[in-house]
Order: sequence, then C-alpha cells, then structure tokens
Amino acid sequence: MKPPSPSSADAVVSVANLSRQFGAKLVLNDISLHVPRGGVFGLVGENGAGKTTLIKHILGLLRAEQGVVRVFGLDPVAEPVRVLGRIGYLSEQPDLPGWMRMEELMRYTQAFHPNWDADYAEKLRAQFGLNPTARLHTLSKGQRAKAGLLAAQAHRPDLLLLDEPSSGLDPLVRRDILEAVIRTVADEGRTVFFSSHLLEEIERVSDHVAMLHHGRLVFCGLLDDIKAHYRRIILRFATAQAKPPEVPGALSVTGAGREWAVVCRRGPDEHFIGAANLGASVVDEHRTSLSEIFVAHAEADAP
Amino acid sequence: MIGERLPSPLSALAWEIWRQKRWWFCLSAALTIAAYVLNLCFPAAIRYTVTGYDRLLPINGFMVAGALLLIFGAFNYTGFNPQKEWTGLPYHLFTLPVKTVVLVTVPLALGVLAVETVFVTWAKFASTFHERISAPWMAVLIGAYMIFYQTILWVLAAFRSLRVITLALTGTSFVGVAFLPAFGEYISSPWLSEGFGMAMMAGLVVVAFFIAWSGVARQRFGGGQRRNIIRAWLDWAEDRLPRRERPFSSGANAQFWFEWRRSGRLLPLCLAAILIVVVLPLSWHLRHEPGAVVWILAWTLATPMILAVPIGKGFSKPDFWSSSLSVSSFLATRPLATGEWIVIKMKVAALSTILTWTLVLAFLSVWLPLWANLDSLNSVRVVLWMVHGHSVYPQYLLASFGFFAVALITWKFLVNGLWIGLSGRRRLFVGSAALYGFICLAGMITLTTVTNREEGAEPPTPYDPDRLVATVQWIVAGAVMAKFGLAAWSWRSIRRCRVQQYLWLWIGGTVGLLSGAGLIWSDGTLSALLMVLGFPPIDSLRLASLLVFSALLTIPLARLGLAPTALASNRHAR
Repeated sequence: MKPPSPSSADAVVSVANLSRQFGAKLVLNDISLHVPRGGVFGLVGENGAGKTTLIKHILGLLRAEQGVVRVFGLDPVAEPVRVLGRIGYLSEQPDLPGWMRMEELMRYTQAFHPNWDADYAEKLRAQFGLNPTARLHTLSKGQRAKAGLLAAQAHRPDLLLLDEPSSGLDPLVRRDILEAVIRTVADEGRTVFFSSHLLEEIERVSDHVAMLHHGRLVFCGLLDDIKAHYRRIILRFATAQAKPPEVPGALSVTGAGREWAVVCRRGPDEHFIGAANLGASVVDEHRTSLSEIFVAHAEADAP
Repeated sequence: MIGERLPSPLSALAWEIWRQKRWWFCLSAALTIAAYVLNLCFPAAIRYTVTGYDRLLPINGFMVAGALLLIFGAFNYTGFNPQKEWTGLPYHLFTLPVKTVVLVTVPLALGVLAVETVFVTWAKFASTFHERISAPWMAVLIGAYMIFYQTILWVLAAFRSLRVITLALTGTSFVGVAFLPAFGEYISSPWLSEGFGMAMMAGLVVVAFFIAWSGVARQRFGGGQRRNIIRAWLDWAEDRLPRRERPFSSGANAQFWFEWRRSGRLLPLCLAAILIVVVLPLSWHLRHEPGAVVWILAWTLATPMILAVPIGKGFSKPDFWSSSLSVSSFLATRPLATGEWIVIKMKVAALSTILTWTLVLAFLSVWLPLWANLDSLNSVRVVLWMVHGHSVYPQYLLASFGFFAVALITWKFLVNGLWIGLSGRRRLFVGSAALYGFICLAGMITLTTVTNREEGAEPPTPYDPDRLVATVQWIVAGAVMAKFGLAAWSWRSIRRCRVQQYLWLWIGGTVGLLSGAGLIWSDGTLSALLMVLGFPPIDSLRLASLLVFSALLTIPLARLGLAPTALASNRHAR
C-alpha cells in the first residue's frame, strides 16, 4: 500500500504521467505528483534518480515528451515569462555569470521581478557578507551559493526551487540555505521545492516528501504519514541464520547471526505474526527515519 | 577492460590524446588523401614542371597548412583548471602515479611523430615548400615548432588568449628562420648554413623541453600564477570605467545591458583598436603616397564587415565567450520570452553596427581633411561629377546609400547566424563555419584551375556574356523565390507587431538599396570608378537587372525568422 499523494487541488506544481527518455535510458517513468501550496516539499533520490530532470521540467528547461507539467496552472514551456517570474531557482552549481559584480547581479535580477524587495536583498547581502563590488568569479563556492540564493529569494517567489543547493557546502552555508527555506515558508502561501541528498535536512524542514528511484516515484505524501507507514523491527532467532531471512513485505533485511533488522511497510500486529511464522521474536520495533526508508528502498531495488 | 588494453602510462596517455582528438587526426588524414587525389586530377604537364608546381602552390599550401594545423590542434593537450583559472596540462594527470618527465615527454614525442608523419607524406607526393628550403630543414623546423608550441601552451597556462599571440609570433619567427639558409647563397657565413640552423634548433628544443618539464613540475606541486593574467588586466581596466549605478527599467533593458557587455561592444572595440594600431599609423606614414589613400580607404570601409563575420559567429551563440552552445540555466530561467531575447540581440547588433560605423566616420572625417593625400580621390570625384551631369549632389547621395548598405551588411553578418548558434547544435555550428572555409578553398581551386590554363588555349566553352548573365539571372530569380518562401515560412510564428516592424524596415531597406543600385549601375558610374582604379572596363548596363535581383535576395531576413524557434528548442529541450 502506498501512502496517499497530495491532491491536485490548489497545487503549485502538478505533474501527470511524465516520462522522459535520454537515448535508451528512461530517466523519468510515468511520474505523477502534486506540490501543494505552502510548506516545503522535499524530493529525495540517489544520484541519477531523475531529480534534476524533474526540476528542469518544472522550470520549463525540458519540454515534456510524455505527460503534462503545470506550474501555477500554466505550461512552463509555453508561458516561461509568467511561470519563471514567480519562481526563484538555485541549483547545486549556480552558473552565475562570473564577470558580473554582486551589485550588478542584484540590479540585473531585480529588473525581471517587479516584486523585488530591495531592502530585503540588501539585508541578505549584508547577512551573507557579500562584497557588492566583488566579481562573482572571485567568490568562493559557498559565497557563490549565497549569491545565487539571494538572487533566487529577494523577489519573494511563490515557489522557491532548490536543486541540491547545499551539496558540497560547509555547515554554515547549509544553515543559511535552510534558514532561507524556513523564511520563505514563513511568508504566507509560499512554497519550497527542495531536492537534496542530505536526508536529515529534508526531514527537518519538509512537510511533504517524495522519493524517486531509477526514474520511478517510490512514494509521495506527508512526511509524517510516510514515516508512519514504515517500521523498523529487530527479529531474534533461536539459532543463527546463515542468510537473511525472507520476511514477507520487507524492504530490507540486514544483520547477522541471530539478530536481524527489518524495514517494512506492514502494521505492528503483522510483524509479530510474520516473525512467529519464521520462528523468530520481535525484540524491538520503532518508527523509521527518512534515511532508513530511503536506504531500504534503494537496497530493495538494487540488483 | 581498458586497464587490460593500457598496460603502461605511455599508452594510456597516447590513448587519451587519440580518444579526445581522434576527429582531428581523421580530418588531417582525409585532407591529405583529398589533396593527393586532387593533385592527380591535374595533368602531369602541370605537376611535373616548375611553373606547374608554382601554380599548384596555393592549393597545396592551403591544404598542407590545414593538415598540419589540425595536427597542432590535436596536440593542444590542455584542460581547464577551475581552481587556478588557467588552461594548462590537464590537471587530472597530476594525480596519476607518473613522473612529471613522462607526462611531458609523451605528448611532446607523439606530437613530433604525428606532425613529421604528415609532413613526410606530403613531401612524398606534393612538394609544397619553396625549392630553396630543403625538406630536412623544414622537417626539423616543424618538429621544433611542435615542441615550442606545447611548451608555450603549458608553461604560459595563466596567459590563456595571450598564448595565441605568443604562438603566432613564434610561428612568424619560424617562417623567417626557415628562409635563413637561403640567404647563404648571397652572404657567405657559416651562421646561415642549414647545418648550423639544425644544431641551433636542436639546442633550443632541449631548452624548451627543460622549460616545459620544470614549468609543469612547478604547476604540479602548487606553483605558478593563480589567476588568469589577461582577465585580471581586463578587470583592472574595466574597474576604471564608469559603471551603471541605476536600476534597469525592465527585464528587456537588463538583458540588453547583459548582451551588450558580453558581445555587443566587441565589434566597435576591435575596430577602434585596428584604427588606432594599424590604420592611423599607416595613413600617417603613407600620407605623401598619392595612390595609398584609395586602398587605405577601401580597407577601412571593408574592415567592419570583415570583422563582423567572425564576431557574428560568436554573437550567434547564447553566450559569446562560452564554448558551450547550450543556454545556461541562469539565462534560461530569466522570465523573458524567447522572441524578446532575439529582438534584444538584434538591437544590440544594431547598436554595435551604428557605433562601429560612427567610429569609421569619425576617423574619416579627421583623416581625409587633415593629412590624407586626396589627389586620387579627387580624380574619382571628378569622374563622378562628369558622369552625373556636373552636379555634386549625386556623390553625397551615393555616399549615403553606400554607407547605409555597408552598415546593413555589417548588421546582417552579426545576426544572420543567430538561428545556427542559438539552436545549440554543435554540428550545425561547426558545419556552417566549415562551409566558409570550403567556399574559400573552392574559390582558390577554381582560380588556380583558371590561371593554369595554357595561354592561348581555347576555354572548354566559348565565353558568351549574354548567356552567362541569362543563366545567372535565372539562378538568382530562383534563389529570390526560395528566400521569400523561406521568409514566409520562418516568420509564421513571429508576433504580428514584430512582423509589421520588420516589414517597414524591409521596405525601407529595399527601396534604399535599389535606388542606390540604380544610381551606381545604370549610368556607368561603376565602370568609370574601375577605370580610375586601373581595372578593365565592364558593361555595367548588362548587370543592372542582376543587381536588382541581388538586392532582393539580400534583404529578406528569412533565416533570422528561424532564430526564435531555434532558441526555444535549445532553451526548453536541453
């Protein structure tokens, strides 16, 4: 049983039956999801799962070959001005023009966004410690990420799209990015779409979460609902097991000897029945973290 | 497994060079084979005589230069180091468990081997060098230049584009050195012998090798200039210029500023540099030469158009200075309509053209009245005055039309390729550049073939100007029809207000050019001009109708209509 997906009503982003192929590789396979207005929507998945490809579809940088993508109810490819005008976007490696000065970047970006809040931009610039006359190519990776974040956020976008923005950055910059996410959400009705490898971050700030695995949507829903659907139980056998026990409904089974940890989707009673059938007893059982669910799904589909 | 096929660092490095640049090697081989076949096409009477060789020299020289340049291009064995902001010996090699001397020696040795192979192959079937330069001497020079070339590329890593100038200067010096032994026939000196030259080159090669070795070793262990020096200089110069402090009134204005900063100002800057560095000193130096003024004037007027061709190739890309043809995500996510972006690029090109020609006008208005020798120009003016019923007004009218026409052509050179560059298709982009090269080559071959015809020999078909003009007329008429058809098709997706703007421009431009053409051609002015310049007379009346067709062919911006679609496909389907 899959956890319930957010409904399409009042969705900021609606994706229906989206598939995308690069050569022979199917990068997105029949993806359908809705990002509700307000709150943080976290997208997780291993490298090559299709996260960036999905985000590029949302930005209109990729045309949907199959399926439909709507952002604010509009086609981002057909209506780039109306869609991109309401989006702030920051990628893992923001390809900011290195020849621009910080102040020029702010003025340039401001011109495209009538809602640009100059005071807020200046406040962010001072907070991030960015020299207004410094050329962007002279900034460090962390400073460039901050500059990109400023440009993405100062017009108070309705949708803030962050594509693994904190990968490879130090904890201080990651903190700034997370604060930006929280600030955006604090603005009423604004939405953050946040893709990351750092599952702890996603778990800390996300209301909704979706996982992509090999181009397929594994789950999508409220984080609490998803976590409630999974359990991690410790089975203890009377004798040492030479190979992992075959637990019905298990996503992953790890351990050795007599004790084995199982991540599964089933309800608490089912665990005890299943364990009894295997000749084991449940010695511990608790809710899983997002990280454990992620790893369990990734391992379950591993060849 | 790759590891099984690459048992040593030497073969691994060789494999990497081959894998990266295999198309360059293949093209060089293809050019060599094509030249061999082409040489066979000429009769033995041409190939095996001194005059025949001399006449084939342009083709063979062009093709051997192409084949050798491709090999040199293939051995541009460099990679960008983002930390140091330079392009030197590929940075990833530094972490391999291989000694620096091996890293340096392998590409150097392979480069020499490759370039010598091509040269020896050429020397076998088409001796393209001057007879006074022996093949062994040339072989030594080419091999030595390969060593110097790679040494300069690696050691001057932080100089980036300045390396091109250094390489050009070194190459030019080599041409001079190549002819030194030839002077030995006139000046008796052991210093001018080939033997001494070879020994000298061998010594310099050894020095270059040690410079390359020590330079790369220094870079490998953390030394060297960190930042790109040219960029630092340019940044320093730009810091001294006034900067925009006010906010932009719209996104379109901001994008205009962006495009202008990246590419728009390049044409006027290049022209200004040429005017200051070349034309101005030349015009002063030759101020007493009566005939020089016409040629300097002609080159001054041609320079913006000549510059607009290569700059237009870069201008057509999403970002002039980027090697990638894809639209960066920074630009692609600007809330700006694709069609608007094209219009902005066209406006930037227009401003660039206007500024460039304003500079030309400013220079001419200073040079011509102050220090130019106007004798030859005055004779042209007298002819025009006589042809136009003793009136001076047609001269000004002709000058105005001419100026408008050359400005329009300059602008067209800048924007015509937008649909290619913005499409993001590298093959199309490279193919269009190769087409220019092919046209040059075909022109040279045709010219050589025509000039090689035996004096007094009958041409394959009797020369009949009427028939020729009639044929060309039909071809041009067909081209005009095709161009109008393409224009109608390519502009179908453009917004109506833009089409209306374009139509006004088109009608104005067409009427202007046709009027100018009528004035120039219909009363024999061109013939008179050519006579003054020493060319044989031509029948301009016969060509009048051709010019009308040509004007029609030139104006419709059919290909430009494809640009929005090309950019949209690049922006939305990467």
